[in-house]
Amino acid sequence: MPNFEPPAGLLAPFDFTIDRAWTAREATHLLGRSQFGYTPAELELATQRGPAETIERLLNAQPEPVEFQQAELALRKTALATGEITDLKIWWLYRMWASANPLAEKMSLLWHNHFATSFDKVRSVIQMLNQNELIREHALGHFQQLLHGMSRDTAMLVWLDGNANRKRHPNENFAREIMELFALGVGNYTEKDIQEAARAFSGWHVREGAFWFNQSQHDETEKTVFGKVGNFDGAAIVDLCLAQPACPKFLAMKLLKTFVCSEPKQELIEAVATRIRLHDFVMLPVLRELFSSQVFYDGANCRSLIKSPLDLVVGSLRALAAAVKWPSIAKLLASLGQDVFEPPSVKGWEGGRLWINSSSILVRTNFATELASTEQLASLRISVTEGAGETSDSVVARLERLLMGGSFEGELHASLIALNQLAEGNSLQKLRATIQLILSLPEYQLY
Amino acid sequence: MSHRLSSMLFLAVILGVMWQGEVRAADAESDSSLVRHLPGGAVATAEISGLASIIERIETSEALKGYLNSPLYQEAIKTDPARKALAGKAILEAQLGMNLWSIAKTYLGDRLVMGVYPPVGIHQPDGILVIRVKNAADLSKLLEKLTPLAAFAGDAVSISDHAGGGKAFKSKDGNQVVVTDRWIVASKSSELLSQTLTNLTTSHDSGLGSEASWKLMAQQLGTQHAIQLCVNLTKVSQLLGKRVVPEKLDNPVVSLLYGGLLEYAAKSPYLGMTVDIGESGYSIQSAVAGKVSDLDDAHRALVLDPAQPLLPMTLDVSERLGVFSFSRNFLKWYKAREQLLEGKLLPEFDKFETGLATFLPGKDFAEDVLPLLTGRVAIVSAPQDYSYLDGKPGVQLPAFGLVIELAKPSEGADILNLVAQTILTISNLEAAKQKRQLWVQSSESYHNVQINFARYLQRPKGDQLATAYNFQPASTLIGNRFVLSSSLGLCRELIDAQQNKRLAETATASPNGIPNVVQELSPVVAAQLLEANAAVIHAKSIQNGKTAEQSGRELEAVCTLLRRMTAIHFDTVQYADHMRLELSGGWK
Repeated sequence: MPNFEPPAGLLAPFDFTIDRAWTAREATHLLGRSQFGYTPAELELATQRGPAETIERLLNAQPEPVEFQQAELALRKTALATGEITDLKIWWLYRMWASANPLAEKMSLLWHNHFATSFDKVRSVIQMLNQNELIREHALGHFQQLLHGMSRDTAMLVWLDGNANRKRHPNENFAREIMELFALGVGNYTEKDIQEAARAFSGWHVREGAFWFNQSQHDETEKTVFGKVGNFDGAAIVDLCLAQPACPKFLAMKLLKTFVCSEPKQELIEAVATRIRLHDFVMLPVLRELFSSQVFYDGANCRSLIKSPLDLVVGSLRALAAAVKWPSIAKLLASLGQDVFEPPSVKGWEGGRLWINSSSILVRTNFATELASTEQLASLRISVTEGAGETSDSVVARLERLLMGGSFEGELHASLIALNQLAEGNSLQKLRATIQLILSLPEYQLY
Repeated sequence: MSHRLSSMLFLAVILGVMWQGEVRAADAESDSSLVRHLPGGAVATAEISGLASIIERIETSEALKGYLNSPLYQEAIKTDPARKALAGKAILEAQLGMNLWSIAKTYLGDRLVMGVYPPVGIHQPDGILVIRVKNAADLSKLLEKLTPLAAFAGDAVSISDHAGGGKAFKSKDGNQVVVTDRWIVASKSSELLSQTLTNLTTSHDSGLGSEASWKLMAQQLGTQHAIQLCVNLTKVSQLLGKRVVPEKLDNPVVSLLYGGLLEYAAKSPYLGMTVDIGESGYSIQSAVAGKVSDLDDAHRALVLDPAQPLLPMTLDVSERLGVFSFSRNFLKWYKAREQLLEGKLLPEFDKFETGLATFLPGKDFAEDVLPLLTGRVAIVSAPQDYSYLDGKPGVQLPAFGLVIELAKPSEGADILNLVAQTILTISNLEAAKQKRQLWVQSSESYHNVQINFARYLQRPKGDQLATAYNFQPASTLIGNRFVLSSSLGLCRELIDAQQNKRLAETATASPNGIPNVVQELSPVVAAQLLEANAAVIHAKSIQNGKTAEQSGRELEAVCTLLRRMTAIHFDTVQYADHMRLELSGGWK
């Protein structure tokens, strides 16, 4: 591995011996952003081991337990067997919930949203699965390889009408999206670039369910893209896009919006883009630097992002639930607006403030009620319910630590204790009422 | 789910043990039904006899021991209801000085009968329970134990000497129990209690036993059964103020298959049910009285003419999952649909006829299509062979074969082939949308019979193929029987069956009985299918919060249970003066 100078400025490492101590709250911040929530064991481990060890655990592939492997295989086979996209959604949701490598799942979701492809048009579970596995393979690796892979991915070719791209009738869909949505962003290319690039991708078709270079439909003539002239094919266009200065900036913006803050400043984008270019588009070292940086732990950036439905639901399940009823969860996520494998458009989910509206806030509250008070979605972990008989103070403190990384400030903490005392029913029902309230709080919708 | 499964397995163990036992040898006394002692006017009765020997078999069976040692049982007894039940059992055993098995054998092992009586005025329906205990001495012991216990209850239970001997217990809410000689009689109604106690001292049929509906049931079903239920349908109808079955049904399939039976029930004075347990099998029969001649013309389309019955076909295919066979006068039923079915269903028939005109232009379904059929129809199901694939579908479905007997074979086969070809074309359009392999029509001669079948353009490959690859449609005409099958292999088997005379008319199933609907299910083949789909079943369990290990354990338990069972038969049989639903099966 090449030895690079550590980043400076905003990306300089956060010093937990000087700036702020590493506590459960900091662990919650790191795990919440880099995973879909965390299990009680993960939180305790991260708190004890500290940031450096936790970040390495996140970045480096961990062995998956046998139970996970068995279940994952059964769910994957069943999705292929039934051809039902709901079964494939459940397979991925299960991975997000149970995998020992949750960062890979989080990054897979980032790329799934980046290369948003919907089953609604693809209509093939195996093609959607293959695309998802391609994404997972490169999720923390080389973006170049991922982009090249995506340009030949059958689900993507079906989604963006690859078979309609013929030398006499070029279809611009893929050429447009690779520039606008996959590599550069609006303003970094011209319409002429798209038209020329489309000719380069002509003949990139799907045949018998696999990528097929249809030479008879490929335009072999000269093209001019980004001012460069040549007999480019699709792979050359991908390389030309990757070579544009806009590409690392575009990716930097994505990473920052996902992991750090909703509106990153230009200076920060430039800094991350420099590191991306320096690391030759390999995501793992970029993420290591980001998760260790001052900007990541900056107080202004903590609890500043709105949880996506997946962060809210899968995150809550990881913290609280043992046996999950996945078909109900898949339906719930669709009603909250984040239906994996079926993003709303080629632009994916815009997210941010749009996750919360008058309808979704109601569904989020209902989720809190159903998870805490019923068995319709999942059963609570024994480790969560076994302490129900403790005093209200300790029950609330335990739940605050588990769900928020520490106590709420001011009156909210006292109100939760009062609610636990006043709630109707036995100690377990009181505990459930307290969980329900915490999950419904505006503070819990942020991470 | 695992608790439900656990309960199901426990029941299965009990049934299994019951089936393994000897047929009950009834002594002279136990031969006589206790129903005769009940006062007249009951809406329903239920009688159980000879439980002691069954309980004994369960208690000493290896199957029960196996179940009690199983992880499923160990898991089940950790639940709250199970813990409470076990605590109650311990208290009862301590009080009576014997274990639960002995208590059950001693006090419930001979005969018991329950009667339900209709509400009178503002009073709620009443019931009475009569238990006959084999040895009077056992009841004396019970009285010795119960009397001091009742004293602890204070004024909640009062105890008095009964005039006919024994003791009478009365609870504050009016429940009364009289224990006398060999009898335990319980009711909330003093009148019922008193009449019953009087009847117990007389030897003749004093009340219910002399009523027409019960006598008719006893005559048609007999009275020597392990369990016997009787519902007085005349009384139920009076209480409801209408027929027990509506004149017009709201489901065409139910009308076609069971409309005749239901019309019998509407006119029958009783509904009876019996359960019998033999050495290696069981039989559950349900009956209603009536004759074909009592039915109106429309309903006669749904029963077989006793003079010239068109018996259902049998389909003797090896390794079959199930068979469903019946015969009907389809033309008569179709033309009488306005009399037999609710009005809201009729527009659907119009739509069906309009749609059919697309396939069969210029033909009328009733006039041109239905007369082509004799009325015999059968469906057989068997495991699919997948010889047409290089691999297997991820979800493995059984193959189906529909056999239709034709009155005009050549003309009928043309029309049915046309329908089959149209289905194939529509399926190909759908397959193209789903990016699946397409079918092309092909044919072969198998034992000198021509089979038309669909062949995939390219043999699909893979071990998780789409569910649609379970089908390889095939059709053929064997004599006057048209076969439309989802499997070429099953189609060939049906040709073998016909040529070896195994595709024949059903022999009369029971003395004087005419089979009306014949159904058979093979639990062993069902177990094979479940095992073939184990991965999908496990995945569905995991989707609902179970672990792969839990799911595997449950599937194994269900398959073990199914593998121990022999074929289950569920037939409707017409007798001269009644009709029965007959369920039977066995245990290996």
